[in-house]
Amino acid sequence: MIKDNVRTLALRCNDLEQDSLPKKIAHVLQTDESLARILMPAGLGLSPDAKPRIGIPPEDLLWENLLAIVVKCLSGLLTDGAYCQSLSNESNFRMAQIFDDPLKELSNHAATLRALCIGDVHSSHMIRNVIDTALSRKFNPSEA
Amino acid sequence: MTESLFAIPSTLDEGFQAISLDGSEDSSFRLALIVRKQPDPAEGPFCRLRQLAEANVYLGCLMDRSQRVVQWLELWVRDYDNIADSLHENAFDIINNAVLDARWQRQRDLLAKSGAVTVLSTALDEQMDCPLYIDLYNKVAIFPKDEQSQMHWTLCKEDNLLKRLGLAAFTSTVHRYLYLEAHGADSIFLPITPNAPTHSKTKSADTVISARSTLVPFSRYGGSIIVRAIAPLSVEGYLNVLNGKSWSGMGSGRKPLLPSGLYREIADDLSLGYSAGRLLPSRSGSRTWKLENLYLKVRLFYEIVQLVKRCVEQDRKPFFSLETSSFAVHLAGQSASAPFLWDAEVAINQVSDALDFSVEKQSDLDSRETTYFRTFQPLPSSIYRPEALAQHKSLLAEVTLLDLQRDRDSGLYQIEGSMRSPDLQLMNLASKSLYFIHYPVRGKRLKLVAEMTGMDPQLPDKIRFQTGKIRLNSEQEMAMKAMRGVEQAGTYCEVLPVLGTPCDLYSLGIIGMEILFHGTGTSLA
Repeated sequence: MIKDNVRTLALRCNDLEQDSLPKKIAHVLQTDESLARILMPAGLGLSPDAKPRIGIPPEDLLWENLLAIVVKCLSGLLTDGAYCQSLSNESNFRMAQIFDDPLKELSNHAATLRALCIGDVHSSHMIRNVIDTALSRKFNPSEA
Repeated sequence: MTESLFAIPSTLDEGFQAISLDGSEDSSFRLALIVRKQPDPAEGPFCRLRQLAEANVYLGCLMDRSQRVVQWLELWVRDYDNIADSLHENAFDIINNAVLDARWQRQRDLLAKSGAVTVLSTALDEQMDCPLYIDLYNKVAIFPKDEQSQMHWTLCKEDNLLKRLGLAAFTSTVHRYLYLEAHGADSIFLPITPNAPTHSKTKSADTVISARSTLVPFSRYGGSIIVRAIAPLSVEGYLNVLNGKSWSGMGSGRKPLLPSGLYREIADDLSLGYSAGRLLPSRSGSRTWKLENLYLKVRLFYEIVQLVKRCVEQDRKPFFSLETSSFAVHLAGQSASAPFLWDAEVAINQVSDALDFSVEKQSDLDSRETTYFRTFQPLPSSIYRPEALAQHKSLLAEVTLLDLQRDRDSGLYQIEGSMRSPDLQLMNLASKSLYFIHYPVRGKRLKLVAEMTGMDPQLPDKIRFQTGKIRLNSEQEMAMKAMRGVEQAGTYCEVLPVLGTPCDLYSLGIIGMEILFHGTGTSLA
């Protein structure tokens, strides 16, 4: 199911003229409800109507970027933009280099998500400190 | 990488015992195999962690003098039960015991260098030429002996002796026999691979060695045993934990085993419910839970791609058969109160399924050897693999040699010709392929490796080809020149798509999909 829908998504993206694959993916998912239902599942907190999703800034297109990485791994789906155009290596001396681009992109998105998680920890601490201070002021004014 | 998975020694669960594989009772530490006190109906007495194409991986441990587990281990043991049946039709000229032994060593090196979990150097590392059995009654590991002579049964690697006796040679086939080395040709031979040739001097290993029902083969095929620190979680098991489902434990069979430490935390529903191993204290299904899950999933995907890259750099080969089960996860953290899921590390579970071969090719400027890869065994279609990987085909064709050209400098020949077969019409000729043509020359097969140079638009079942550079003796040269323009019907050909690491990238794309969408309840395909 998911593989077929990702294939459909890739084919639909081939027909669009946006400048980047994540933007194309975002456009297709905004315009096709059935694809969005499968590829932006509510179970992961990604349904289009879930606001504010799971805390990912929508302008980052983070989920769309992750989908783009998967699509670009599958040689032969995209007319251009895939990590490899065919299933053979252009040069056997560069066999391991084909993993560099997906690694770089995954690393960037992991860093963004880690920052969002750690940001959440900081926010929680700050909120807790404010509440603690407020409670102390109310019930133990001398200590405050 | 962690040096010790479980800092505090632990006792074994009820129902399991450890049988020492090396060292005496006086040793401070001993390498041991974990054995069920009551054999599992399906799995038998050993705790198998996983089954690979040519190996079984069993649960072992390093134990101290008090029989406590200091470290859990994986014991990788060869299993060639299905090897002869699963090879390509014409693979016997490239797959044999020498290749399998080299492949095993390569596997050990790769596991060691991939760096995710430690591969230990042990006494079982040596190229053991004796099979290893477990005596369940006496709880000891033994190298079986002949009852009369008290000599060990040893793997016979003497090709000349085997050939003289009409048995399959060791280095040029996949078959193996045990014998009593000192007896030489007078020894009884015990075939240990299925379908190995037999005659009056051979006897079944089961009747000679395992006559007692409590004697169970552990390493039937001999050879070294790889000992690695354990990576007990499957990728799916780890993803289930992220989803809030408790881990069921190690090993196949009805009763899995639960190690102590962090693994007990993830096997406990209550601990998981209280965010064990997580940074964000939240309940399952909440916004922060999902956000942290997505980070941990992306990190897992990254670690897997990174590991594959490291292995390809080491091995200089594509894998060709990566699946989610090709990877395992271990928790490298030490403290249950820390966010240990953030420290999860990925280990590789398999070696490349590719075999390399070289073809000398002529370009406009020069001539050079190009390396190609073919699969070690036929790979069935799988959701993880591009269709081209299952396109290794054999066919009978009408082959016509059109031209033979001799390179003045090297003295090598390059042959042009055409090939016609109804099977070609059914194949995807647009993809780049190599054609192995077994051309008959004076009663023998000359293997030509060729590439397609053109198609005939009028005849969709016909292609033109050009071979790489080959050496021909004068007899072959004369015969082939005489065959120019003559259609040679029924010539056996193999067609192999030219494939490389982009196949692995494809598999990683599917694995990534599986990771990212895990927990949605929607199937992958």
